[in-house]
Amino acid sequence: MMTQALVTNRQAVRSVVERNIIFFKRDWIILVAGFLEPLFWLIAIGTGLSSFIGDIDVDGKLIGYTAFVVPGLIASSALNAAAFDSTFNFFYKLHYLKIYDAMITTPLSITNVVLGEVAWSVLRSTMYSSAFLVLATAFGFIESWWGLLIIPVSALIGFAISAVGIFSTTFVRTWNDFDYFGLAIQLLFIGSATFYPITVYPEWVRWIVQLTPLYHGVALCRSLALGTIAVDDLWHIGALLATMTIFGLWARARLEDKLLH
Amino acid sequence: MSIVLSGFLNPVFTMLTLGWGVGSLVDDPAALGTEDYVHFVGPGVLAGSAMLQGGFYSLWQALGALRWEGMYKNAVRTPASYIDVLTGRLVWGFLRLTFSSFAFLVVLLLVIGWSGWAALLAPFVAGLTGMATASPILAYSSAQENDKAFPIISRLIVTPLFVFSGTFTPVDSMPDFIAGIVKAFPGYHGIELARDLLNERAALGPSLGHLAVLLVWIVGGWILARAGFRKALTS
Amino acid sequence: MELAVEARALSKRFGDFVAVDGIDLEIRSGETFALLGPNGAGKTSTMRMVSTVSPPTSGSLNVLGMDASGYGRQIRSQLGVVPQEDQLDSELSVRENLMIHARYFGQSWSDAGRRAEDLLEFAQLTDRSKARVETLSGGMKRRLTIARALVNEPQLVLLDEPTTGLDPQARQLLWDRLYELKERGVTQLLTTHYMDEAEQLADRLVVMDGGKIIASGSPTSLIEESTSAEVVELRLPEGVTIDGDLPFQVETLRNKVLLYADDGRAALSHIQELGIEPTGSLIRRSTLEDVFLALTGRQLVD
Repeated sequence: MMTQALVTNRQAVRSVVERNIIFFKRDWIILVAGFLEPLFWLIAIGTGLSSFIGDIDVDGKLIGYTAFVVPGLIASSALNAAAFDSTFNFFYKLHYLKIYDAMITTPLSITNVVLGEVAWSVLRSTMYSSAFLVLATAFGFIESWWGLLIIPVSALIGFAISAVGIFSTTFVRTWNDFDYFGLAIQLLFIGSATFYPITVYPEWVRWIVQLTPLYHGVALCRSLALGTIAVDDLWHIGALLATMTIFGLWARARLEDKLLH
Repeated sequence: MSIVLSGFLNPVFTMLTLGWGVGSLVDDPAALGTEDYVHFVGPGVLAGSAMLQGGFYSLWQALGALRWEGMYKNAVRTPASYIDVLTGRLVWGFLRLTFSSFAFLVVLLLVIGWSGWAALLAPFVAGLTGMATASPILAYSSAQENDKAFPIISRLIVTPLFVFSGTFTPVDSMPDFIAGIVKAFPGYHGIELARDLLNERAALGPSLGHLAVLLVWIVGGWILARAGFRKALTS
Repeated sequence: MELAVEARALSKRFGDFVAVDGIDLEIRSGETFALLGPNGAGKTSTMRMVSTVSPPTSGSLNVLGMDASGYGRQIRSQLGVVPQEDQLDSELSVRENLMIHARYFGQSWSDAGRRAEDLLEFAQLTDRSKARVETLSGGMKRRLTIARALVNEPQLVLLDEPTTGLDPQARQLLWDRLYELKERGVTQLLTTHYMDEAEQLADRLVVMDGGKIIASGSPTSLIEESTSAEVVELRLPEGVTIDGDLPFQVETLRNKVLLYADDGRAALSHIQELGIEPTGSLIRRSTLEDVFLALTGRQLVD
């Protein structure tokens, strides 16, 4: 009889990520397509509208419209990377492929499974934003070395969106429910001060926007890209960390109810 | 519910936030050729979102109706032929989109004010734009056994067309090769026509030109889609 | 004797519904043990508790010498599970399914690769290793699921209705594989509602009904204890019934009458001597089906 070392948590989480890598190795074009989407928006709105819009004041610094939109779209690309895998695909794996039922008969725990799926989203988010960052730097839209920190920030965005996505998906009953998700993702994408400063909103809308995770990611990426980062921005990091933790734990509890019955 | 969420709330929200947010940043709306940015983006989203929905109507929804659910297969056992089913699908899609576009139009007119009787034609233009996109995609998707390539069509064809066809930005302000490509597709013509109608500047000649492009795409797609429908429903 | 599974007063309730009602189980290392019973008898709930993915409501449960509620991960690392629905990863190929499953157990890629080759051969799927799971037949999927359950060289394999829905050839092939496992000394716990399957595979079994164990023993001892050696199945003309004092037990079903007798031929002549002429008759060895019927007084419902 082979004596087997017990799988470590790190190995366990990694194996769940690997499952996604095996899948996307074959369907890599889906990864590429997902990356291109924010780029389309950049070309259409960021550069298309720049000739009609004058410089924008960000924390007392005047910048061109394209430079204003770029960091917002980097954050959105992290959203895009995490949103589909943690909602639509997660639902498919949970209810149709039933691979999580199979996974939990192995040494993997529910926590390993959730963290593995979130880790994959984080990986995908950082891949997208790194590629985007390279492009943005090449075109001169990143004005500060602080810009490098956009990569860890997009990891936080990926984590937060994935945790919220998995949590919400545990409530989904039919595919039609995903229409609400489509609307929610569109709301996050356009509403999170991606294309204009949050100051254009009246006070009450600002409050709502500040409750959503992507807004904080956009604000952080913008400060980092423009080098206007300040101590104030720490609260954005706090907001992302809180979203990650609360929804991550919640998602785990919901899945325990669903899978361990 | 789907029609309310993706057919009404989604475009209304897009129009309001961009019209309001981006609109407040635009210094020189005259350069856009409209009174202000909402006058520009409102009609853009009206026809653009119809185009987007038309695309989805011919992807998973169409494959579902043709292959996964039994409704169409049952229909061809009645005197209705597969061609009737194809025509019926496009007509139904047109009616649905026109209907939800009217709802959108009400909100738009509340924002920009009454802009003449011609505005009431815009939802029909949106319905046609949706079907001018749906029809050729249907020619492709009806010939498919599975949805493997659909995410690619959706993300690399339908979405870029939505973004680049002048929905949010004048097509001519984009790189030349992009502008050249999108002008061949129906979305651009639908959006231009809707924009003219809602800005009280629709001239007969150019309007008929745009309309002709839409109809060519619809009929062309219809002709090509017949083969896929025959294969899926009669074999 | 070493016990692979030991349950005492094990229960599982879902709200008011009692799925498993205080059962005791002792499964020895190396034996093949079957849980037999109709749908809803509590077999799958028991299996899920043993595989540590369903916490018991009360009672104690030890699997491979460890407490199931505290050592789930340790137990699962030595367990192979063949669920009722295959739960294969149909987005991956046959070989990838085995490889990634081995990774879930913490094996290195190279170990996983070697193991996958062996198991593909064991499951007679070597030539399909690159195929997508969805292109496999039901029998192939089942074999792959069993192969997958073996990636970690488990000490205990749980098989929930391993041959349900398979055609006779596929079933035979699967049984061969399970015999081979048994020869290797792997403990097997299986559920089935096929009587012949339990007779073929199990060393010992329990019959479950309504969450309780209603009988236990080896297939032959159960047949001996609960029923006669032979059974005569009779079809009678319309309106004819058998009653009165007879030297064997009689059971009247909707469309046939069963005689439980150690000598079927003698029982049949006995009936004919009474002047009853059956329209059809069949004498056969009694099976677990008859045991089940004798114990619960009703036919198995799928």
